[in-house]
Amino acid sequence: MLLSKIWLIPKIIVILLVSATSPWFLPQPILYKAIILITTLTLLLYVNFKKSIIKVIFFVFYIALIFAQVFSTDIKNTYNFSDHRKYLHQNRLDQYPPSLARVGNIIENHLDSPIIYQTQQNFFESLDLVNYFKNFFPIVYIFPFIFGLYKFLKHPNGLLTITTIFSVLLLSVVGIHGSYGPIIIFPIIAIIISHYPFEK
Amino acid sequence: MKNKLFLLVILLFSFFVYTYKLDQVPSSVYVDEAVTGYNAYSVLKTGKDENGKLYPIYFRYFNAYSPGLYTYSIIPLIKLFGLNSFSVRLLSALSGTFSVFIFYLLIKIFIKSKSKAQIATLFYAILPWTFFNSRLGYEVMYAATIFNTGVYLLYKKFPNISNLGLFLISLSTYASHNQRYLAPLFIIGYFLIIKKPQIKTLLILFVSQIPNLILVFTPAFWVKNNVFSLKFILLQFITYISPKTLFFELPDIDQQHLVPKISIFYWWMIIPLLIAFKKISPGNSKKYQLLIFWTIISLIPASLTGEFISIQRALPFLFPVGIIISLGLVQINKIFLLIAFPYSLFLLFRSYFFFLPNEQYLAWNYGYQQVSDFSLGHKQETILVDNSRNIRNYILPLFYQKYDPASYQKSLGNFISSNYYRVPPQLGEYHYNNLTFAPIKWNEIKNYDYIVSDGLSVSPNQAEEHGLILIKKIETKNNQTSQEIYKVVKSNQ
Repeated sequence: MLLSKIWLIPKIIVILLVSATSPWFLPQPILYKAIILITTLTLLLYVNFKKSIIKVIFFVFYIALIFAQVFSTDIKNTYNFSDHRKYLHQNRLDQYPPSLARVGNIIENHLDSPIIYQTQQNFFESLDLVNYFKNFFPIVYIFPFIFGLYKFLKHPNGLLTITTIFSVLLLSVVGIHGSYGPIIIFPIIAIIISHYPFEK
Repeated sequence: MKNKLFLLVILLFSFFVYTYKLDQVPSSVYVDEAVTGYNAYSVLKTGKDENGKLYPIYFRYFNAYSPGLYTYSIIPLIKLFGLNSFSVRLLSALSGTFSVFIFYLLIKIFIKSKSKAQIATLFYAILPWTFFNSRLGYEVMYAATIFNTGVYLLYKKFPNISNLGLFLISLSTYASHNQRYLAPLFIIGYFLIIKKPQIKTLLILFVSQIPNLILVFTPAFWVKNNVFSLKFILLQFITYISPKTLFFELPDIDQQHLVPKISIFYWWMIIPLLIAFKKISPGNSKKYQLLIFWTIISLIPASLTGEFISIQRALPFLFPVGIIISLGLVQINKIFLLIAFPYSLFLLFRSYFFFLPNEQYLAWNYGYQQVSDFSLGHKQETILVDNSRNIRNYILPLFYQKYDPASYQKSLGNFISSNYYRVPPQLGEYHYNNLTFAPIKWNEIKNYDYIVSDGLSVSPNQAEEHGLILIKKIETKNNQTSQEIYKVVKSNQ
């Protein structure tokens, strides 16, 4: 227990360092900064100590973060397709021979409709490492991130796994192009960088 | 017996899908295919490449040097089937089919169950990137297959050293730039992680590298070696490993590398990849250590070379990642896989046979067959083909016309062949027969009888101002213009 507490100090320092050096975190409004930081720290405390009370506090701030994510994202814009995409869609429909036109309609307008494709795009954009390490975090953090991610996948923590899945699913629906970007992912990346590389 | 039969079915199926409509889809010949095919044809007819160099080790293709093993290897196919898209692409299809077999042998080392290994192999055979590269008329799949066969032989003799395996890895450096970077890294890593080499092994490697060593002090050896910052290299690296790149959308700047609505792997394969992470660990065994090492270094050539993301340079990454995904795939419920297979096959065929020919025709240099035919039909007249947006297009009519290589070599003179490896190639203007390939210079167009534009280089106003009459539009199946042919009205006419 004492050892865990001692190990917590460098982890908190890393979280503060990641936050202070993130070109993504710094320009956020002060309220958002506070919510993000408290969510991150409570998540760190939970994965270290697994206390119910910490989990409750985490959920309170995580829900606030969900609201922040949803209200800072223009969902309508996410599903407002460009003329080029509409043209491509129509062009692809036209490529089905007349005998398969009905099948083509079912596939292109229902099973693999532009909305489903956009949701897939949102999903993979929410996992796009290039976006995160080119725009949101200094590139040097990629090393502890990959190392930490590997350890996380080997020994997943339940709460962090649920948080990750829910955050990615949420971003898959609302898209990542909000005023403040996919802020809901920040605590997850920060924990992977700060906590897991120190784990055995 | 049943297992062997199923494997045979998988191989026959792979060969069928890699060769199905091979001469028709992609619908035209890409410049890299044309340059490979024409140079093989040139060597077949004269023993020299298009520039007149006798049996070169590296070929001068456009503004770079390329290892020549693929070019030499397709000579028998060109002899057999003639110079056409089928003969140029067939070796890749055969390599792809053989790579499926090698994949099976290799995955069997990690997955003991034969039936599970076969299921994994079946999915490898229809991976979008296996499929796409197995139908290209240039070296990437061939080189990767030689390299991967070498790796398999090393795994087979594990932890001892297979000299044949190392020889094949060394040989792959003569097939593609990727392997020239990858092979030394892999071999050094193998010696450090697995086993130190004996003198005989080092001697084999040294002897097999003599042709490369002969050229090591020439610019020909050091092409595609721009120096970039560490940040740039890291960004390149994470672009290749990003789930968005692997499973959803390629960030490649070259449209020819893209297949609409599909990426390297199917989108759902992110699930087996995540499952596989639970299974693999460097602590498991040295075999896994080598797999992880192989996976990481296979991206180094792509990350170190090139200013832009070129997903074909990351082809060596496909095989080890394919193995890792398979380790997760075989853990998945069989019913899921039974649905996933036809679904994936549908996605592949839809993208490749429906969307690709209709959307990527310009990237695949559509229309030059018709330009070539036009020039043959107007032998007494001069034709300027605008090359301002496609400076490598001179090779396409050479390919389509099967232009006599000896005549072309003669027209170039001796300078290039006598300074072949010392003076790096520059792209510029090209002339043969009645054709000139150069950017349009308006004050010189009266020297020509016809101008071939790519549809963008001549506006209606320019045509009117300079006395050009549009006589032919070359259009794709869905009525998109790929080229326009103008007749130049001379002032005395």
